[in-house]
Amino acid sequence: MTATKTIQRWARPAQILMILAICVVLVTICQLIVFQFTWEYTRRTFLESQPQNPVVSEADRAMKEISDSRKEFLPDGTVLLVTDTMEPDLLTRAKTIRVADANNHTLYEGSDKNPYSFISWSDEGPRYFETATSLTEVEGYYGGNADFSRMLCVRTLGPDLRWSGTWVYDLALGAFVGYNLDGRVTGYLGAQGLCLRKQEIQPFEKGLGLRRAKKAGAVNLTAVWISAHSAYLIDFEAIKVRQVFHSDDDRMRFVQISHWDDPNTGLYLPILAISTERGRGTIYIPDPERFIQIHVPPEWYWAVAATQSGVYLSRHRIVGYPQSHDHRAVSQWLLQNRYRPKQHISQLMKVQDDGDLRLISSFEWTQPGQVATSTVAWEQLPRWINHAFAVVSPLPFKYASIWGEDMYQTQSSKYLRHLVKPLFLLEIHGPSNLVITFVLVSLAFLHAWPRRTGWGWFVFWVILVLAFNLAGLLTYLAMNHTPVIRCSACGRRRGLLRPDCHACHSPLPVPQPRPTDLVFPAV
Amino acid sequence: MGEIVLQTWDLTKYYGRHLALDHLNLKIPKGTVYGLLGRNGSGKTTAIKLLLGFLRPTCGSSEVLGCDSSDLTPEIRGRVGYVCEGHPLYKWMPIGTLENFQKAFYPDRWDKHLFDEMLDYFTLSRKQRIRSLSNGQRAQVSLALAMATSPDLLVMDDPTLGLDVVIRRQFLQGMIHLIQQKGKTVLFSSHILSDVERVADRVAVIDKGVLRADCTLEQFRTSIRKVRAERTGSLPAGFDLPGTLHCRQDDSVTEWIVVGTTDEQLEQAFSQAPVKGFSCVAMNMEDQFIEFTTPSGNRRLFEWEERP
Amino acid sequence: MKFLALVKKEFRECLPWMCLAFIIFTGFGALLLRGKVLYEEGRRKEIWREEQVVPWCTSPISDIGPLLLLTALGLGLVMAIRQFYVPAFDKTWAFTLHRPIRLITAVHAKLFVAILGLTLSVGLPWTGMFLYAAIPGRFMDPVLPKVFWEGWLMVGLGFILYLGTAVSSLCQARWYTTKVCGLAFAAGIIFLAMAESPFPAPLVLTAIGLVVLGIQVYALMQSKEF
Repeated sequence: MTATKTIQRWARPAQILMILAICVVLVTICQLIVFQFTWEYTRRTFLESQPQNPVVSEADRAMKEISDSRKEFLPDGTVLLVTDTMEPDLLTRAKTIRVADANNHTLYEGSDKNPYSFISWSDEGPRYFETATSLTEVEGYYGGNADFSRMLCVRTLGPDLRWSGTWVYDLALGAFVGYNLDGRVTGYLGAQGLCLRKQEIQPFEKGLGLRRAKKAGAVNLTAVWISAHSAYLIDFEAIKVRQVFHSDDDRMRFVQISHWDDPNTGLYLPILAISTERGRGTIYIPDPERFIQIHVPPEWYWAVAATQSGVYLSRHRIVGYPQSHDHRAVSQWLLQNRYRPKQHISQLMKVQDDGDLRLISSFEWTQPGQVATSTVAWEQLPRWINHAFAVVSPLPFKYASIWGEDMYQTQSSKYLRHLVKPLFLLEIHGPSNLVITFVLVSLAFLHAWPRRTGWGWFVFWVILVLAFNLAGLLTYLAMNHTPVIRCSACGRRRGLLRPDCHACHSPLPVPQPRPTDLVFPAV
Repeated sequence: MGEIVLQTWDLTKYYGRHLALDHLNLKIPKGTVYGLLGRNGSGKTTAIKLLLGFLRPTCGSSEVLGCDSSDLTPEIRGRVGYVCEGHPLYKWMPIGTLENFQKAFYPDRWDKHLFDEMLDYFTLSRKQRIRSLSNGQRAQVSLALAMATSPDLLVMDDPTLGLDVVIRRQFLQGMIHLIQQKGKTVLFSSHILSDVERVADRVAVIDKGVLRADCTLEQFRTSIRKVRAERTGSLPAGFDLPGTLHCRQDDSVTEWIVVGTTDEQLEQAFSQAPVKGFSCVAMNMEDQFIEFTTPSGNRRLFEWEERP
Repeated sequence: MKFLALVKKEFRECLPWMCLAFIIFTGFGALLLRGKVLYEEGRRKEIWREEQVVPWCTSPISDIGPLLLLTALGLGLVMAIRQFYVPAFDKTWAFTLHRPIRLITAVHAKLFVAILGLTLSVGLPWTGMFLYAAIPGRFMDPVLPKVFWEGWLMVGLGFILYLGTAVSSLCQARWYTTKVCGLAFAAGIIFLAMAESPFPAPLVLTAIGLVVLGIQVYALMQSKEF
């Protein structure tokens, strides 16, 4: 009996939860569909009325050419401007380049194999995953195929270049578990290196990225494990782990890798460059092994190259760009400065052994502001449409939008991103929303009044409609579709779930006996 | 007539806004055979389902064997046999499997001998699957399954619907067998008045959800009468017999359907009417039922003009 | 004995569908597994030319995953229709429930058969396939133990769909109002569980679905008018 009563007590809340969730999703989907159709329609009409090709001056055109070109440095500090062009020939599509001096005078135009030896810089290299979320998503069901979870695997090859084993990253252990082809565990690779027992594992800090840094001539690769505060070189050939960076109080900003598997290593040395949010940098050269600690202010973006004649650093910044790299601050700054010209600075520096940076050359140019086109103007239009259709959204959406936007920016699961997108896409306008809420609450009140069986549920439904707006009203109607009849005593509408009329408290009318009735009860 | 096996108090049921049963007050004593009559849509099946707890009343309540219908205990359900309208059974089951299934729930009450006898009487084989049986055979199986549980109360909802006269007679024989056992009560609804006449002690008539008759069969049969009188002139305005249900007339003859009117009342009424004489015309139960449940003013084809 | 009688009856009614699910899953699953084994035998002998780091490496038995999920969902849906919708269609609810049992016993019998059916038709074959695949050396990539539990969770999602269908079948509202809400809710739970959320999110979602839908099945049976 107790179980039955418990079930009966929780049945209605469970049903409310279920129907409310469905109604919220349905209302949101309808809003987004209508919103999207209206957006498309208004965009088209606006585009037709705007000029398509605004005229720019000669000076602006020249400034744009300089701005659009790649700035390449020669070892002596000379800056050259390189622009990629394509032959108009549809069959060959051969890539050609144009090389110009700092004043944009053409020095060379022809194939990519040019006579200039630009410095080859480090870059971020092949990325296998990029955020902590990506790594944990590997562990979830793969929604695209309705499939099991995936594994982060590193395959190892034997001398005959055939598969010899696999290292699988175990999220719970925080280390790689090695398997041979017979399926047996061969060891555990953690932050301290190889160990043969689970108890000895020192786990890697939660990974934010994995990069490829395979040594030239090696059969198996070396990978860079990047976490928030550390970076490790994992050599899957020698089965060794080398910590190349650690900071307790500073967070990783970027990691660059260069020339690790370059067969022509006569000119460039393998290099690993690590930058933190506060501007600290570490340059690691494995052979001969050395660490160079440098400091580059956080507003600069930099890259390095190690040659036989020394280590070079190129850095670049936009004057006024936010130092914090917070995505909200960056988006805000780009939006505000979209149409304004921006000052760029690129510099070539030499890195001393003690970490000092000696300036070799510097080049500044101006990037012209974006010209307002019809497509830019369109984006400013449909906000009123957004407001009109967001007006029936639940009030909690307004407060959840802050969380939703963060999650949208950081979550890499495309399914979950799409789920939270409506939270901040639907811009809820407070006063309009409140007016509609009042109307809907009034409708619910009028509907519920003759049907009420108790004050508790009556107040609950009013509050539900108040909080969830249209979805709340739909939930209420779905769960309270009880019929009403006219009370025979007072004529008002009354619900059938209660034994008496809510207005005059008279019960349901008793049928009048007829003189021809033959009712003679047995007892 | 002492113990009450079925009782209702103002039992009411609405389907949406439609009133299906209106303040039904019924008491069925132990040992009676109760015939529940009514036209299509009058509320008979609704009443039975409310009594057995398959529907929730809008208001009012009912009890079966002393237990509230909306919360019948397994013990009470074990004492009540139920034959549903249409005799729905599991089509894929052979009769033998169905027997075993039913038997599992009534280990102490199952009357194997009776079940075997009934199957034998109806010439049914245990190997036959329900889906291969005709409506009549299914009705027989249904009755056998219900009766073999030795119920104290047998409730049947239109059990002979769609059955031919032979099968119906067999069905009634089975019912009579049960009735002959002391202390058993039967409640059944039917459209076949001759069947009701054959077995029922009491009848209840529900018309548009309202109980209009609850009396012995004898009372029902004797209370509803057709009175015919040959007129010598026009009847005075406002002339009517006490207890008139309907009145029809042609050029010279007027007929009244009266309920509960005594001979003395008829004599007194006709003494002041311009009639040659009056007589009571015999009616079978079917005619009585039709007249009792037909609303006045109901237009009928090819029949006499209805006198308002 | 009464409970067993009900279980036997429900089991017999669902048996054809259980057999069909078993045949489909085991048949196709065995084919897929065998094909994968043969493919790997060939791969062992080849020179490796692909990328060594595979960040989204599928389990060797990943081909079984969609088949397992679809079979579990299909069986759950069909069993719920057979147990909860068909009796309303052929009007046998009254015959089933008017006997000396509590209503909750009839519900338990149906749920028990559903769980048994999913286990026998899908769960046990899955266990057999996993044990076959997990033999060391069968595949070059290891078959991790957690994949086994993920498979069983897919069977659990089949039960979620069963409960959702049961709620929709028992609901007496019109089809264009709240009748489909049970199915829609179950579908939402399944979608979210499969949406690349790391464990234990799918487990939590399944538990929520079980509780919400399970309570409603019981409550609807108690309040339903037959």
